[in-house]
Amino acid sequence: MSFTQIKSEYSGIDFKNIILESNALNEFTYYYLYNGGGVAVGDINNDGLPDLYFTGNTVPNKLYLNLGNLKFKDITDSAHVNGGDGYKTGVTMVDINGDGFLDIYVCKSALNDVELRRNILYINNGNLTFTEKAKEYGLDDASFSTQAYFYDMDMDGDLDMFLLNHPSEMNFANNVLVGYDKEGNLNARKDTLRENVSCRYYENINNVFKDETISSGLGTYSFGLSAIIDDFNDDGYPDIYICNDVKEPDYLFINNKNKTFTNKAEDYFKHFSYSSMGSDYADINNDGFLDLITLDMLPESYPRQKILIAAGNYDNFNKLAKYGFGNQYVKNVLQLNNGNHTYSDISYLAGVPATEWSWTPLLADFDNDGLKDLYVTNGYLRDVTDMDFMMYNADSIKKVVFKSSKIDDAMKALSVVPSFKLQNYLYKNNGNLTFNNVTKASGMDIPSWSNGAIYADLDNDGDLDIIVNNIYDTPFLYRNNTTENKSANFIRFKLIGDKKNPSGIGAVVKIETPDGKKQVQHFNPDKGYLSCNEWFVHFGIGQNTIANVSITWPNGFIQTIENDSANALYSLNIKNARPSVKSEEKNVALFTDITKLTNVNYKQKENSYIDFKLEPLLPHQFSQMGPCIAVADVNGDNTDDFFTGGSKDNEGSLFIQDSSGKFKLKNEPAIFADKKFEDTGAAFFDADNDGDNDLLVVSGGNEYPEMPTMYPVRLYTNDGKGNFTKSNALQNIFTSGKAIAINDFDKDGDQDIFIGGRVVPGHYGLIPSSYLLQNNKGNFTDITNSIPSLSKIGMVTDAIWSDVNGDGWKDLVLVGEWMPLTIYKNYNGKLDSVPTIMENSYGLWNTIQQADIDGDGDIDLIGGNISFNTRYKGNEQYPLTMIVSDFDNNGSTDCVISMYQDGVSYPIAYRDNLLDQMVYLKKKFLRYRDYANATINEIFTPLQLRNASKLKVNDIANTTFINDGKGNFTQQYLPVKAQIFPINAIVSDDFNKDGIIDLVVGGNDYSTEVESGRNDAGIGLFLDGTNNKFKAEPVTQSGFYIPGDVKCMKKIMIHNKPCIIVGKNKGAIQIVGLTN
Amino acid sequence: MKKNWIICFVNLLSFNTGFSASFKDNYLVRCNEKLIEVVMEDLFTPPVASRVHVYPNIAAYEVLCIGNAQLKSLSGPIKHLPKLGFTKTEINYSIAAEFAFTTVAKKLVLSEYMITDFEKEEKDLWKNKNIDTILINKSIEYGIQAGKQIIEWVIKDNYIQVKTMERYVLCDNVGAWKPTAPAYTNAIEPHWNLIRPLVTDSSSQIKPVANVPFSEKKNSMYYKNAMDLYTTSKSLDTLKKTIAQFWDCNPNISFSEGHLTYFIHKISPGGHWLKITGQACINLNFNELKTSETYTLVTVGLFESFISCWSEKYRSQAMRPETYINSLIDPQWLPYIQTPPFPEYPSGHSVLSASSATILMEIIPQPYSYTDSSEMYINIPPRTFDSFNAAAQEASVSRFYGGIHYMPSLNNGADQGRKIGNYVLQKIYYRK
Repeated sequence: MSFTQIKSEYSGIDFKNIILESNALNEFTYYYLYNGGGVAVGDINNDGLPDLYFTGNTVPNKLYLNLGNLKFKDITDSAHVNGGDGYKTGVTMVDINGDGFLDIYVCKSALNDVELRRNILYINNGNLTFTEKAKEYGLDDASFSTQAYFYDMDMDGDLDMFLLNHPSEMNFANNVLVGYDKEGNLNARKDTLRENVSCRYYENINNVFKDETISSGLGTYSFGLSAIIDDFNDDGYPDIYICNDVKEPDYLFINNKNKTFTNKAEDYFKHFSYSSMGSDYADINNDGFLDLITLDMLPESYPRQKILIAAGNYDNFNKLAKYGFGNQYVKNVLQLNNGNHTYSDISYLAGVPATEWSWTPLLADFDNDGLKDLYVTNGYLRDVTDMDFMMYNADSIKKVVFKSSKIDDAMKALSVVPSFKLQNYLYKNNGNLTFNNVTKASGMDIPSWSNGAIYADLDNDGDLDIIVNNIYDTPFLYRNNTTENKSANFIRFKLIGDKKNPSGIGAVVKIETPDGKKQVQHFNPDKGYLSCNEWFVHFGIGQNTIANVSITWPNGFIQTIENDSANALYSLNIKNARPSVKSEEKNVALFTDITKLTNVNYKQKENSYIDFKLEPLLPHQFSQMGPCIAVADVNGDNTDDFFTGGSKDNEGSLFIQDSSGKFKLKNEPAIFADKKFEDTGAAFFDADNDGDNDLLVVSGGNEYPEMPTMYPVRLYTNDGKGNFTKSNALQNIFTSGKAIAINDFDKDGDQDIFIGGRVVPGHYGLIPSSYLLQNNKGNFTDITNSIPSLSKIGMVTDAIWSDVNGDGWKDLVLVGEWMPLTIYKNYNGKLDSVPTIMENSYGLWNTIQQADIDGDGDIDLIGGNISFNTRYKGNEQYPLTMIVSDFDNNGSTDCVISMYQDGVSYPIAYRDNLLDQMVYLKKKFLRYRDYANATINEIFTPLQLRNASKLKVNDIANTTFINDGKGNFTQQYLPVKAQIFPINAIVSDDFNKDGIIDLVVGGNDYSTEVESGRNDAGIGLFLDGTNNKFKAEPVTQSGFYIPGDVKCMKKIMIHNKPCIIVGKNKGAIQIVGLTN
Repeated sequence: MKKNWIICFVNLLSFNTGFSASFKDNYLVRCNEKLIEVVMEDLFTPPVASRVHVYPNIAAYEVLCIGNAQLKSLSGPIKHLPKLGFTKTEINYSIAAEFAFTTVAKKLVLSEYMITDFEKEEKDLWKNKNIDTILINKSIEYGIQAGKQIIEWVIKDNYIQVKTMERYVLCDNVGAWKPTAPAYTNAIEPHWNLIRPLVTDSSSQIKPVANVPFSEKKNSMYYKNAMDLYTTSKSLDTLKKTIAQFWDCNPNISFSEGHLTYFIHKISPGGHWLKITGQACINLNFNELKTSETYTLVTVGLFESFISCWSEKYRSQAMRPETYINSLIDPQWLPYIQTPPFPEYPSGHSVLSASSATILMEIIPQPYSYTDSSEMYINIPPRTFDSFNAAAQEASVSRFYGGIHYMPSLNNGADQGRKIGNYVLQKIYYRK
């Protein structure tokens, strides 16, 4: 991508959003003072050249007439559109009276004087002059307004207005006051409708706008900074997504089709950005479903993160979630639309979670390659979240200020807050859900404080130029050089609607190009932040020279055109559209949920335990690893039954299947008696060679630090009818474990056991004990020490027996956290003393499975790892590392995880968390700045480092290991759709009966620390095997939908049909079957 | 909240320091004043601050004991404190005591450089008194060695273990403490009861009477106490507001306006009483022995007060008024001063003020009235008190006006504090 900055000397655009601070208006009196201004584009005189309008917060707005060749003329004064007095914010254009000329609507905020806050409607007189008529139209609203959105909300054909507002005082913006409601339940106090601060809804009645806020249900009390109006639930009526700053989560107001709206955000989204600012909604992967981006304020640079971002407060996070404020994280979120009205945040995978204090996102195809790229503006005049300023410097300044109430002193205080201009970001869409930062390469690395921004083809050359409203600088005008470089083709459309909606706002335009690619856009120029984009629908089409086009107008009328030539602008007129003929094509999904049919109604209960209270530096918790599930016929009726483990203080449960495929809970006193243990692993096998399935349960978790006997491995003997008694055959085997692998590895006729140690409770980073237990006619011998390396091999998460070298003896395959793929080869019943490890496979593995996925006759492996969609990154060149020691000799184990950025490996812990774990370091890092750039070499002495154990991760991908037949493996990553969540469970089978092994995978991890946020993007995935490769089937096709914190999946035969049983932490057991 | 602050701070720059000229003449007052300043800079929580204040004073005291037979070593009353391994020698014991103080202080504070700078200034002061440089250096070295011996004892007080024990886990019991606005900080120092006490045998030796049983019923005592607090808070007159502000002593108070959050560092409750102590030592022209004794007794009292008080706080885990009132009476209500992040019962300020006043009433010849200008640094005008007890009572009731403690917390806390003060006196002071 290539852009050229057109300087104001050439363009004539000399506007500057200078913020004049005064006694009445400063950062202390108005917290949103530096939120900046917007920009709107539109051809106000219908000469074919788009004109520009900028809002200035405390300076006059400006209107620039486009003279062609990127030259502009300031006609503000002659057009009478300077915005008047007051603090101006958002701006949009709209032909409100259907006279064929765009009018301008300007929002105002900040000031206490109501009259200075009245929004302005400039009606276009058609002769380059405007007349202010807000009052006449009923739109002279005096709220604290952010931005106005004109859209036909009630589907009566005309444009209504949604006005986004915010409260005026910020003192309580983060307070959550809890009180009893009328029903006697404790709830957060929600502010009720307040004049001038809640959002407002205006219904258009014959071009007079009537305030219907109260009846609409949109009168919310939140710090709204942007909104997206679109049909999120495909019911033909527009809904409203609202980005809210600070504690209020974002809202998704679903249109009830009766002029009322209901917030249902949590039905659609798993989490939100905490301080949501600008937003955009566009299809980033051309699957036909629009994806949402909302911006936050996380810096990209780790040192800046450590200075500017407060460490997470676990209790407060939980409190917000508990009282209806959703799960919110300080980072951008990119919500990939799954197509079934759910969204998955893929910002970490996409590479766009952190773009500093960000305002405008623009999703548009800037290089005309058919993929929507991302432009982000950022910058805040002062780093008011600088932790050193907040904790230390504000104090001394304030103490001076206390002694005088003069505002000059407040200003003096503010002037010492660090202040940096930063680069905006331009990302190129790579076409595989990832984006590349091309800011510098595109010539856009100019530091600025940038706010509202738009794209528009200002020079009518077929590519999208970018215009940015800056504080203290003239606007950026970036000319797009794509057409000049003749690198790709485009096709553009102008929509001509009817008189009530002349621009066709809300129309959907789809194109299909000869290469088979489909693209879709929903036309609404009012998006991003405070701004209004161009009045065209623009598609890049790469090397294609023609496209088929279809447009669906808001009234449902459709027009299709075939073989439009590239590199041209077409008009699409609603007059040429015809009512659509609805074709109801319903594909039959491969999978279907059958939980209800099985009568399994079981929700995993998790005991309340917070690992971070003892170990603040943990990457995630170990007290929430359940449930485990084991499947077998326990009562000899030839139907599969299943056991699911209980968390601490909750007993495990045995479900018995009857002949009709329904399950009943069976009472098992011996299992109940052991409820104080947390069950993390379970397996059925015949331990005593009496022909029935006995039950092995591994205790685990993190709840009992320093109490090893709370982690026994337990064996329950089956009487053949499914009644279990505690066996004495396994005694004094203690470890907080998880993995179980059963096999007669020595072929002596009975089943032997491997137990993997998962974690040392309270001492993460130390290596727990694993066990190999040899079965001798029902008596078990601990032979772990016969293989010296085995006992402390690592934090094992999964283990299988698999004959990887085809010698007829199953080898022991292990994976774990901070572990490589580890294989103990089995030579005639004896395990090799040294395991074979794969050097480039040190991962944060959750699971390992085996299947001949390439059909070459040997066993391949499939590993579930942490995936690319988390904060934790590591590869061979830049591994994720962890050092472990009791650095301060106080008996607590300290683990410090470091991650590379720009060639330097920084600890990921924020200062407060690190110092909380190692108090003695407080003396070393008196300020946040002192710590920001520190690596472990500055934190610890060489001696301390020498004595610490070191762990690494150089592979985070969910991957297959392809076997060459001799036990040598080559990694082949699963498709990118399988990289958006940690995979905890894998089941292989030829599900679609095409003769090739397929996979279903499930995962997520909700137990993470609160800074980087929980991994909840997974909804399960069906991977269709196609010889060597897997094809990720969208949920809309496969029907394989298992949302939640999926911890395990097992095959189970129900009513003689193969099904998959899914266990979820704090979730209900789900059973998925094949549809046919 | 911010507005209230600004309104009540009239411009009184001229009173910048509360001390008369003789402040400069008492090195132990200078040391303690410096330490208060560093403690404020380093944002220690009140219990940790009490630890930082007590050990340097014990170090100075023990050095002075060697030089002056009038003082009796605390090794004995403090069972685990070993006697310093020194005999009387030809040094300046004042200088040695001062540097024992600073040596221990440097170990305990974070901003060591502030103490190091102070040491340089102090050394110059001694030089200006025409004391032989060799003697000064010898005395300093003596003090440093003494300080190091004290440090060996200090580090066994379980602090570093206590700091990394399980952080406070919110309790689901009805009436249990919940984090409060605006920062929703987790409860601090939940295991402070495990810090090694000095003169008491354990943290539970001096317990307050049990708290009023929690109840949400309107006819309950608990509800009545809350209503008392609520109605009082709704009609605070200027005097009550002034009192609440004067004794606020919240070492790290945060103000939040959206993303703009900032903290104001204030003298901790213990620090406030050390200001009062220093002022008394100056006003009465105490010599170094009397000064050291006074500071040591008061700081031991503070240290014991926090252990005992914190022990009860986490035994009862009582909810703060704002949590109770928001849920049952008025969802919009906030206390006049900010609620600090730890359980309600009993009031720490009541305990330690009573303990300090009890000790000071005994050491300082009575009657003694005084003007307290400790809060001038944030422009809160001085207040005059007829006695230390009167001040302690006002400090206690300030928590009620401020809306952060109920009445029983004040009264029972003050009882507890008096018992602690008397116990400290009995163990250390009356024995001679």
